[in-house]
Amino acid sequence: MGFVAAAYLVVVGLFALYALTVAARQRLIGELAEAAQDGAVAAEAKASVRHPVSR
Amino acid sequence: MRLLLISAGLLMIVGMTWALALAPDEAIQGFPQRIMYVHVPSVLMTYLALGLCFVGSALFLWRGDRRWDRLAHVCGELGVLFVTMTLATGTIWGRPVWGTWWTWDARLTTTLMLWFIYVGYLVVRAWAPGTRGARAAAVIGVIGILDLPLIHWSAILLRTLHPQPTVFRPEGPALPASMLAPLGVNVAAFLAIFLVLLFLRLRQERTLDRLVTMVEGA
Amino acid sequence: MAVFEARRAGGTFTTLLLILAKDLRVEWRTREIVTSMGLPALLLVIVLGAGHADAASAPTAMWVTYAFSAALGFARTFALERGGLSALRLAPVDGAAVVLAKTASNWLTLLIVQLVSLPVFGALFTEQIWTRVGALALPLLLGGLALAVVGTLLGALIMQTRLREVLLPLLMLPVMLPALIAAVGATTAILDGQPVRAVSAQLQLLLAFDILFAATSLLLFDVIVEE
Repeated sequence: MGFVAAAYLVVVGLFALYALTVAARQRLIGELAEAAQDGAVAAEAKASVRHPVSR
Repeated sequence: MRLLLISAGLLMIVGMTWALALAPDEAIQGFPQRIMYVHVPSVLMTYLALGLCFVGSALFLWRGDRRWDRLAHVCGELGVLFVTMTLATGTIWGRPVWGTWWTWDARLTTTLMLWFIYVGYLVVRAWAPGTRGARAAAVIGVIGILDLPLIHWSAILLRTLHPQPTVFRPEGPALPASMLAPLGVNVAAFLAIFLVLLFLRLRQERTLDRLVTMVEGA
Repeated sequence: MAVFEARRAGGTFTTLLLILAKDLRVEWRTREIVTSMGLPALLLVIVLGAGHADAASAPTAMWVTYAFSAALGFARTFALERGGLSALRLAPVDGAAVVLAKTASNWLTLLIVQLVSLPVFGALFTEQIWTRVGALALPLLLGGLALAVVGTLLGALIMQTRLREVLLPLLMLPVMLPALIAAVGATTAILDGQPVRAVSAQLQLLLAFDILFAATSLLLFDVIVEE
């Protein structure tokens, strides 16, 4: 019956939608992780220029 | 975690097949009654999510520990997910069985208001970032649950003034074992999915928090 | 400053009165809140009255008007306070007094809107509103208080949020639903000619609602008053 199909489809659809938002959040984490990496490398570079490491 | 994901998937497949194909037909409602097998689990997961959101919000307001805030946030999201599912499956079930998509009975009204309150919770989180926004959202998380008995009470008051849907209530009489079993499987399936999503999102939020502090610190 | 002396002298209640007096004085001079609440309210009454306007539709029209005026107006009371709230926090005042004062001034403003709109409702909808005004006082007061308490609590919470004028109605109305249902129910019955006794269930709900949310506001006043 159409109603039952609709109900079950809605359930699956909502779970799928939520999974998409979870994936989007993961992408955001990926971007931030890159920014953090670059930031850390840049910070290190800056620090070594200001306080040269003794050879 | 992987184990949880696999069991969730399996339970879901078993549960749905059983509900759709193998479970017995209900005498009065017929085929549409099978919607119960996804509606009842949705309701239970809503209570779980919003209950945890309440606990997380209250503890965050009291202790200030970010972990409680993360729990509240994730459970707020899951709460909206499952309230939406509850409302959707419920109205779809109501149409063939009650003859109407909606009635202002106590439970439906309460659930609808819950939807608005917790969507509001997510909007506040989105539009007011930072600790201030988190605390504001936490208050809403607490208020939402406190308001619940009042909403229910008022809807009962309202009902005594309005006519009732004439025919059947979806829950019907106590369930026979042949229906309890597939229901149990589906509840377990939903619970497994709930836990997967909960842990996944919690881990994400924890990582995000750490990353944000790192990026800001640098 | 007068507020500091109050802290030493009379504690919470005196502080409350002083803050309230200050708020009302500012409002009297600028008349900003009453205008930003009163005008939309008046407009709503007239627009609603232009449609199907009789004793049956009056209660809903009244409470929709009050609820929206509250949602629109209370978002502004905190916007105006911006700099002022930090001054209040720096002063050694009781946070509870600040919350109570804000709620009281919001309630009084709403009361004025209710009073001013009453004759208009009476003219457009049903004269019963005038003849039954004594009995109507109780639901109007309790319902108005509910709007004030919830509006102040939520308005303060989202003070720092983007688009708070849009957000406040969205947050307020679902929370307010039980109070609004009770208020409309009571108003309907009273306009119908029933005595106040007959609506005791609705009034009890309103009272419970008011007490619950007032208590919540007081308990959480440090969240409300903080930056």
